[in-house]
Amino acid sequence: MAKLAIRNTIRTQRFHHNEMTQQQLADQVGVTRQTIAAIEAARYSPSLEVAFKIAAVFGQPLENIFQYEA
Amino acid sequence: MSYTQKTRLLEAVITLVLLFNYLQAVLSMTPEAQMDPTLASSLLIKLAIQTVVMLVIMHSILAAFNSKYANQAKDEREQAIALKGKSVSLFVLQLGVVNAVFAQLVDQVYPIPMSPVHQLVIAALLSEVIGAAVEAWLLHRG
Repeated sequence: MAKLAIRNTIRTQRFHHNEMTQQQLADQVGVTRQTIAAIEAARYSPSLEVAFKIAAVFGQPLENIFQYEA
Repeated sequence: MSYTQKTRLLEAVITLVLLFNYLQAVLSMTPEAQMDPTLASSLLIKLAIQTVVMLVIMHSILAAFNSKYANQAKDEREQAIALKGKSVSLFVLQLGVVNAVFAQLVDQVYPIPMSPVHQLVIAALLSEVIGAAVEAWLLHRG
């Protein structure tokens, strides 16, 4: 499947946050683990709300988590 | 496998079983019996009862083993996938309706040896099977 143009650093951020699991992140954001896995693998672009929630969990601005590659 | 994926997969399997049972019952009838409204309605009532009972049992078992996720609403990705599944399901249903209307208009059981009423019911069941299967596959794919 073609990957999306939006890259993310979720995997790295999880590692830096005490090796947070996808399930822990999913529980904090309020989505399923499968959705976090799809976002992390750049197979699904989240809504702005979910993107901001993910950034808030890591305490980072949105642009540190998601980058657009034209 | 997520709770929604398990649910949709099992719904597809259950509906497929019900579809085969219904097909078997209809194909074993004579063309005259197929047109009989009493027989058709009894078959429909039987199908409705079977569907409700089997889906209630399936959801109860799934909820018992996945109590954490049973009450959770679908997230945004699951909702988007459900919408895709419904559009496929609707397309199949539309084909079935057009086929049944055509069969009614030409006043013969064409192209399938079955009355238009039963063709409509089978189209509804088939659309549900295909819609649920597509949704389960899209959920699996990520």
